[in-house]
Amino acid sequence: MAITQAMCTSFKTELLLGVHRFAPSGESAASTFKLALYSSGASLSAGTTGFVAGGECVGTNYVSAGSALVINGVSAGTTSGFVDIADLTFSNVSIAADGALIYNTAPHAGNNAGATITNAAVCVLDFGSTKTASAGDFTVVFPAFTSAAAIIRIA
Amino acid sequence: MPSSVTFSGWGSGTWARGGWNAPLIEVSVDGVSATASLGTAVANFGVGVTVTGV
Repeated sequence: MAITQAMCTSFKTELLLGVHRFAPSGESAASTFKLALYSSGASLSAGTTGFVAGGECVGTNYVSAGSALVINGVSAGTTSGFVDIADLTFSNVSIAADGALIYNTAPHAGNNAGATITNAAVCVLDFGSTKTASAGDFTVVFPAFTSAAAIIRIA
Repeated sequence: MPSSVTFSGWGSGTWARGGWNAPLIEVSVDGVSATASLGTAVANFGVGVTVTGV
């Protein structure tokens, strides 16, 4: 069991299929992305293709499957594209988390065969160690929205 | 490397961040990136192709 930070391989293929739309949240074309928290018992890596319940955090005020992310849209660097995601706070929770999975609950296209994709994985985040909140707020702070640091970048 | 900061105690966190006296942990994560590539396209006109209708 391990959490290995990565952009999921399935996500790369699904970008080419038009599955994921990082338009600003609230726009009609936008996908809905969520972030779920996981304990050290989870098994997450580049091979993760969708939301998995195994190893997900359980704790006071944490709702299974995580919380919705606010997407602020995408931007272009000199030769790159990157996504702006707002920080996410889980309020008044008692949990211990080692990592997270960002996934898409509303894919806009199917796979190569046209079959429906559900809860498509985007990326795995490794917190580096166990982060614990005890009856407090747990905030995931995303890196600066720049071509060199943004949370999701294609360069 | 990801990092974290824990604010705890009376008046924890910065102004308007977190509840009054509520502990707050902020976990800063690293981004993930992919390098995009373009392949080479080859136009292959096979022998025996006949253009008609001219």
